[in-house]
Amino acid sequence: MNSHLVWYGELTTLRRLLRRGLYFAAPGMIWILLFLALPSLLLIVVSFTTRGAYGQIEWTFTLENFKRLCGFGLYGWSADYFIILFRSVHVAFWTTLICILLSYPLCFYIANKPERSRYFWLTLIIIPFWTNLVIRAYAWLLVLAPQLPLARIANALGLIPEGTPLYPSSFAVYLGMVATFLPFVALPLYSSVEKLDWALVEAANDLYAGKIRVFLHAIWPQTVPGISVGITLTFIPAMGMFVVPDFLGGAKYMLVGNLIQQQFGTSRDWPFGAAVSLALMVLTLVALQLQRKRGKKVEPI
Amino acid sequence: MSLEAYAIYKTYGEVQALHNVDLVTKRGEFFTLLGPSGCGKTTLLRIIAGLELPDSGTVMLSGQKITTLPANERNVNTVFQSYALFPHLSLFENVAFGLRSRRFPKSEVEAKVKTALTMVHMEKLGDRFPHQLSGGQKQRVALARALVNEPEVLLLDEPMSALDAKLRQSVQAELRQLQQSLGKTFILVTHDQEEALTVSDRIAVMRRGRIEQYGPAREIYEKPKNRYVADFLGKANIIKARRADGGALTDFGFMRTNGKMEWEEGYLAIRPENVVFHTQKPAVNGVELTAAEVFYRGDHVEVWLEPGTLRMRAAPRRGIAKGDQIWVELLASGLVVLDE
Repeated sequence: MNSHLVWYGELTTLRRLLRRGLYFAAPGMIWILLFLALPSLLLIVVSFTTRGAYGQIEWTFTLENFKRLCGFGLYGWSADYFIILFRSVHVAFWTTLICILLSYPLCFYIANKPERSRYFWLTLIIIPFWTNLVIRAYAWLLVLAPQLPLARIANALGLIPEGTPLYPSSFAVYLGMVATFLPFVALPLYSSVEKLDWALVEAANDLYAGKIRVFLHAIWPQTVPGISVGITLTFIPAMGMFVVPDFLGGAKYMLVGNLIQQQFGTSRDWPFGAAVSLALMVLTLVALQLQRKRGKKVEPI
Repeated sequence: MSLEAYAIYKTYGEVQALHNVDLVTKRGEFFTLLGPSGCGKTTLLRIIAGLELPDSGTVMLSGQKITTLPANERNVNTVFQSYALFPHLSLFENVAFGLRSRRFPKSEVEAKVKTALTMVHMEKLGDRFPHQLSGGQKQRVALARALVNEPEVLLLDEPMSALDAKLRQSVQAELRQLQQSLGKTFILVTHDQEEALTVSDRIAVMRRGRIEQYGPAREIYEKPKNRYVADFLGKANIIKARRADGGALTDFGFMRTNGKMEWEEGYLAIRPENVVFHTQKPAVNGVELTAAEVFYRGDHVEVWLEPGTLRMRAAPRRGIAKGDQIWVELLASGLVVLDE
């Protein structure tokens, strides 16, 4: 182990190299260990414990929490938690998709502006970040209030009774979700659109392609990197989102984020909360892996 | 199968890209738009391709008006400067793209693509992707991708600017051969005068959105109309002159010229190779000058003569040395009268 070797022009030994590598890697490793690995481990452990009578953790290990998550409750089997999980995936999926569909025209609109006003438009997209998420959710409540035009129009169209707000409803939830996550899709997509090689669009046009073919072969492949980042930045946090559905969806519109918040909050059932969190983490990782695999493929359409 | 454009105008903001340009190509000819960058040649090509609309004017293909027809509806294909190959498609699929757009049956697509790839000697690389190719190979694929559609006119937007000098020469020869064997109309845009002379049947020399002169390659080189054309294509000596009986009066004395003078005072042009070395005083158009500088260029020597700024080409075997007094003849056939 102590034989000398030359490493990038330096005479050293394997042991010395390893030690140096450890020094460089240590800060990052400690950080991840302390703030990611340990808490996750704790979460896993807690998810197997039992809730005490006063909401404290009792260290009797059980699979009860996971059974409950699978629907086996005090009053027999129910699909409630599955519905919540499914609804979360559903909401996250549609939020992401709507954000993508809205981002394309937006990004092309901005990219076609003269360079100076582009920054103005981009700033407009970023401005919501200057405000806290909770405050923005409250703002939506105001916008959707009964006296304001949106609710009145909906009333005039016969969609809601007079004097009622547009929340709580799935419409309000999607509105809030899309408004929250649009910048996370639009900004990465914009960076792809700005760099777009328009010669490919012209080549496709020159080769008799219609609009759909132009998009599929000349635009879409070039924007995949941006869209891919956008999906990651949107889908994952959307899965765990609880502020927006809580404010705009009401009690009926519970997502997994609300469920977790409830367990750690009002219900004081940390073991069950940990189990739900774990389920969410697994679900997210699976979704991420699926998306990564699809992103790697080169689609020969 | 000829392409015609009449009275084309195009402005970008303040810049007049094209000003009253007329262009008529003959069936099956290799036509070149030659000019420096910003002269409007690419704009004209894009208007022909349908990638750009002219402010006014008419574009006709085989006698039909196509001015406002979008690119995907005209039977004209382009080889782009950057080649613009689709990076996510194999070479085969790149070449097949235009046929698939028009929903050709599968068997026909396969046969045509194979033929096109064979034509550019790329038949074995159909499964590769653009990023696995060299510049020269990409250029071939781009050519095949355009030609497989059997366009009435093929447009080439500086297709050789990204290739190194040696490769460019062989590609030029191949391109010329290909055009001859297909008998199609090719319109090439380039700023490289040598390239233009090598491949073209006819050349249009452009400057600031106008066509300065157009005609057969040889005519443009040998009989440039004005100083700009004389200067842009090859090297030229510009000589101030005054009209005289049977010729012109210049700083080098009385000279017989090629062409009529419409002016009292104007300019003549002569290529360095038309300034010929003589051991004694020549019979006509002779002048004795000093070799101020001599540059050895391998196949020839370039000599700067004084007084004046006359430059000549001579065979190295002449043994002209710096400081020599020599007799030269300004060949009357090469002493061209310029317009202005």
